[in-house]
Amino acid sequence: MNGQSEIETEILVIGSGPGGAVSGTLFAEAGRHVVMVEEGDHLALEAAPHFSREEMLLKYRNAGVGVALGRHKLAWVEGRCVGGGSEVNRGLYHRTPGYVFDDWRRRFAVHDLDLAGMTPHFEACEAVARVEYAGIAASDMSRRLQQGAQAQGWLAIEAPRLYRYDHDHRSGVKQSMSATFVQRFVAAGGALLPRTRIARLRRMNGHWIAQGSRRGEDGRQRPVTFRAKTVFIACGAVQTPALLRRSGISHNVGDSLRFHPMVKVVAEFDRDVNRPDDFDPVHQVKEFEPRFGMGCSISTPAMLGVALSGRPDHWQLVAERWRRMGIYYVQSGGGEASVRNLPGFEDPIVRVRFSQGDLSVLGEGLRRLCEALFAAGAQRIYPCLAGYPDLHSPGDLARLPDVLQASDGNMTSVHVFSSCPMGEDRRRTAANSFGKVHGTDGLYINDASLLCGPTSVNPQGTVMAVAHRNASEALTRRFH
Amino acid sequence: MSKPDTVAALVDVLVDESRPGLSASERGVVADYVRSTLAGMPDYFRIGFRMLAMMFEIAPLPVHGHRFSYLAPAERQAHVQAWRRSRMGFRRSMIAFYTTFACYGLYSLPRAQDRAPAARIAA
Ligand SMILES: Cc1cc2nc3c(=O)[nH]c(=O)nc-3n(C[C@H](O)[C@H](O)[C@H](O)COP(=O)(O)OP(=O)(O)OC[C@H]3O[C@@H](n4cnc5c(N)ncnc54)[C@H](O)[C@@H]3O)c2cc1C
Repeated sequence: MNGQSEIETEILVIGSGPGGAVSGTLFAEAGRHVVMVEEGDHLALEAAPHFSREEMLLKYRNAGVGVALGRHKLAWVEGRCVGGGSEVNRGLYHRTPGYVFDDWRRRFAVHDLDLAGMTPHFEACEAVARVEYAGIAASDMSRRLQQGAQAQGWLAIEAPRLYRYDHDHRSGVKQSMSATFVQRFVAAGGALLPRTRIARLRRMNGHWIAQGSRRGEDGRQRPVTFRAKTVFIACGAVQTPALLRRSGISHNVGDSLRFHPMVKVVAEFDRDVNRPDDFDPVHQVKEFEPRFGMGCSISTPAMLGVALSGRPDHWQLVAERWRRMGIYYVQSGGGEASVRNLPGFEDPIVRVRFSQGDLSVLGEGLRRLCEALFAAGAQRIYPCLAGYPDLHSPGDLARLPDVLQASDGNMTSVHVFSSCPMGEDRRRTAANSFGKVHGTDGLYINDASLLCGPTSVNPQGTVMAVAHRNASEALTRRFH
Repeated sequence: MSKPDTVAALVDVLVDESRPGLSASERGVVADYVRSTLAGMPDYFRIGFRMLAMMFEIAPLPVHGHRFSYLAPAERQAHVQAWRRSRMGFRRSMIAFYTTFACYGLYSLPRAQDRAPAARIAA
């Protein structure tokens, strides 16, 4: 450490979400000198109840307000705390389907990427952040989706979670990064600096200089500078391209951000399906992937209230019937967005475009979702889309438009990726097959930005395994 | 005359739509949550929202002779309805935004009391 605010390290990892936490841990356990900085606070898992208003303010970026602008806007959220999105998410877990890797390898010329080669990386991550099934403990609300899909003859499964279930006490422990990899990182001698934001990077005398600020206990920002031979950027799919662009690196950076856009409905059943102490829902319909998938959302009274907030009678509806209600979604991989910095502003702007094809996939998915829910015994379905009618029977499905008519806030996403794709095809990638930024030395990306496109399944497993693969490769190549 | 508090007045109207009997202190909790959300939102939106809130506040002046925060409850409601049904997208978006976050704050209320302040893990 030179003076008050210049910190020298061998490796600087920026961001402590799944990408950063996995990378940092591998380097620290390999005996490297690593500093991991994180813009958000280091908070206990129980610092705020899950999916509460307090959690939004404490652990989410921009208090949970993220809007991709465009003709059809999309609202998305990201975590901002030690552990990133893994702290606020449900941890629904999948290994990446083989066809996704095959597609990325072909279209982006990614070397050495297939399911067989990735399996040891999935296994290594799952040995630290444990993955378990709820089994018979899954809630009725969650099972209803599976029952409805199966009645239609569709494939529906229970997704495992990054979670250790304690079936006896109807509780468990989330396997977030702060509860798993970050602890190992610190135990291996890694230095974790929360409340530290990197604003830009520059190259000087064979080193990277990372300039930023650190928020003290008094809330005041103080400038801080890091000097490192090697930098791993893992700020998430929106902030990573924003940081690179602020640092003058823009080749295929922030041009191809992708989401899993979703639309929701509230289904009301003839009996109680939703109880306060239920485990988070876990069932998913796989029949139509990769075009679209379906699942069940957190359906607390607060979430139901927001989902139904466009209706004048929402309070009464939720107060009287929330136990009979569940929120369900359909999600696709459509839409493409850009990430840009605006002069004079700190937060990057995201602009999204959806084609008619994207919107008709969601339109079809919405109809299919409602079919499954009626087959599961739903008495009424309330689409969370302005102007859409309530549905009372399968006959009403004919009233749904074929192409999704989404107004503000109706399309949402919790999955963002692909803003800086990896691969050897330099016409469309920002980094090589293992995340080294093209045309630079000692600068790597290792987070959701690198994924070449939608994963179709929940992405955190892919982010972790790809980060594990790339960090292992960097160690093998001694960062050359 | 006190400084107009557009957020509190707007949240009041939105709360009245579903829970007219809510106490003043609980209304304050909801308004504080909406304010914190506004303070945390991306900086370019924040500026836009401030300008929108100002426009919303002064829009009733020509017709009613008063700003929104000083209108009678029925007139406030009518003003919110007019913006909610406006043909101008930005007006509808503004009301939709406040409705979503006021709703979230409102539905989170019963559990608000039993929370300890967030414990930070050592920096
Ligand atoms: C509400 C929600 C629910 C989700 N549900 C699931 C699910 O069930 N299953 C699943 O697989 N995935 C889920 N996801 C997605 C999953 O969490 C992400 O794919 C994953 O967290 C991405 O990891 P990452 O490392 O790329 O980025 P992030 O997790 O976003 O981490 C990036 C970190 O970097 C920090 N950072 C950013 N900029 C800077 C800077 N300039 N300086 C310092 N630090 C910085 C951020 O504060 C953040 O903590 C969900 C996400 C959310 C938000």
